[in-house]
Amino acid sequence: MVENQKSVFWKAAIATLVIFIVGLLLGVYIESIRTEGIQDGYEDLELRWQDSKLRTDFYQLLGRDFCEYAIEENLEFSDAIYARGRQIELNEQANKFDEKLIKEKRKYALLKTEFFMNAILLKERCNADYHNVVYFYKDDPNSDFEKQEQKVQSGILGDLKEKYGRDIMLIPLPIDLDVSVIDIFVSTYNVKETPAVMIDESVVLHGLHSFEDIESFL
Amino acid sequence: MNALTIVYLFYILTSLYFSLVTLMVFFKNRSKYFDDTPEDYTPSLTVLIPAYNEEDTIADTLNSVLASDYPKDKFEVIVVNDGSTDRTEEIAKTFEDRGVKVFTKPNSGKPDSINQATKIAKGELIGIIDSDSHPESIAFRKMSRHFKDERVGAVTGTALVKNKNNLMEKMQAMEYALIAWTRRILDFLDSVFVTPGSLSMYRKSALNEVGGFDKNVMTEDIEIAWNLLRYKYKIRMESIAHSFTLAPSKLKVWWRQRIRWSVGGFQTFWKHRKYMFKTNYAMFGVFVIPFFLTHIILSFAGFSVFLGVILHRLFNWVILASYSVKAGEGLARMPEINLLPNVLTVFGILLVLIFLVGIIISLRTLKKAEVKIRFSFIIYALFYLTTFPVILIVSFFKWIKGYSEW
Repeated sequence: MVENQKSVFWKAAIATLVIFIVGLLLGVYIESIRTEGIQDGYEDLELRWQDSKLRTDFYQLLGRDFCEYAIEENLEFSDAIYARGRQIELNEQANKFDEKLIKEKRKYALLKTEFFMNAILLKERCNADYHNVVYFYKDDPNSDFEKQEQKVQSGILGDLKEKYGRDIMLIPLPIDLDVSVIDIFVSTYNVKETPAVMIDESVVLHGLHSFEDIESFL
Repeated sequence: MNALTIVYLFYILTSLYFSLVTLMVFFKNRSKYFDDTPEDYTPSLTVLIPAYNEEDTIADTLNSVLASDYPKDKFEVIVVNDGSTDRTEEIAKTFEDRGVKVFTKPNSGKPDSINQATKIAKGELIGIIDSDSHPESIAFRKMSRHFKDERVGAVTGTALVKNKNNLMEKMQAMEYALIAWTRRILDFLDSVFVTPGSLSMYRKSALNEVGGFDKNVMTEDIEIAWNLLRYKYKIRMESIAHSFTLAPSKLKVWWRQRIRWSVGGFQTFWKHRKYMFKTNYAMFGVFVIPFFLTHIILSFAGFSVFLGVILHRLFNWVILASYSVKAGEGLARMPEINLLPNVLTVFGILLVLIFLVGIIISLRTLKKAEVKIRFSFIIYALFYLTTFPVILIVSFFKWIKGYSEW
């Protein structure tokens, strides 16, 4: 009886391989679409950033008051860049082939440092009354303990942002993505460990800190 | 790509292959599934009913067996009373005036009881029926015709569940139907590897040749089948011969039964492991044993991945909770749910769909199982099946420790 059935084993093997390869390709395709989406998102943000900067520069050239506009733009950019950061994180969790979106994350980190420096500058020039809250963390924590500690700290900062809204600029910066300007921040502000929260470039809180702890420095 | 993803993809690949083989064999042979060739072949048959403390069920079973349309002059029925301490013997003896013989012996277990009774059986064929099973009247006649082929050593029927009242029984009704369906598919591949006690028939000379049932294996019905295959006998599955059996109604009984089946499976595999990949034993060496081993590996791999993920998440949740408490936060932050699809999601959904198609086809094919695709179907597909790897792991360790409870 089995003699008539032997072809089934080969046919099933071929069908399995075809389905498996198609599935893998589909998986790779889904991930590449997501990565492309991140890249597009980055380009949009970058364009917006350049546009905003040029407008601010032009207002300055004309001698017009640029502060109100620049602060508003910075705050909106803060929200947008935070949302994009979350999107990358979720994509990274879902990806199985292109697990580490290092390049994209470094590009975003650079954009965030530029934004951070602008936030400092605006505060000085325009007497803006928002607080810069910089969160130093590791993109690739060494252990589950570090990972969960960062998760709790990140959640607390998210709650803080929710409570204070546009009164704070929340800027998460990964310290382990080999971005030299962030390395300079780390040494300049004497950040010794992660997680660390820096408030208004004057106070650095190392380790896990509660909502109330951080709030007391605002 | 991490190690967990690789294990998962291996799991998908092998499961996909065996699922496709099953479906392709079914569709290729669908018209022959209930093949009812008209010719009869009815050599003398002795039906053995091994019984140990079966006073509640033995009478019904005997009534079913005696209702058989097998030629009466070639039909012998022996109740093998395995040292029962209840009224089994007394009840069985009330059937003596209808030709039933009662063979009482000290308790020595089912395999030994069958072996002893085979020696006194007059039939050229030996039918075996559990004392809580009820074969249809046509069952023996439909099964016996396969023995016209001298290389057929055993024939098994379609075992279905009689009691379908509570959820537990309904789950098993689905399971039995699915098993019967796949067994018929394995028949097309000359790879039927179990002749269940609820309804099976053997050529007596074949039983004698392989040395009868092994007393040291907990699933004598698997071991005898493997032994027959090793001796190059064919085992056939007769899909139109039904037997309705009583499935365990209680979780504890069901659990013990499953542990026994799985431990017996391990014992059988271990006994015959040296024949794996040996081509001179036909499908036994190249398909049956590797198929069995793959099933075990898949179950272990699937369970390990599942357990690994769950434990890792649990561990992380504990750390998260402790840090949350340390930071004066609430214990339970809402866990983040990431619904973005990836390659594992695609394959996972595909495999579940293929499996569900298999279940639906089997239930629709085996109408006599009278299992409706309703709520219990979802419970079966989502929860009942996931208990199997757990049973397998527990059984594995019990087997290593030399478990031998019946």
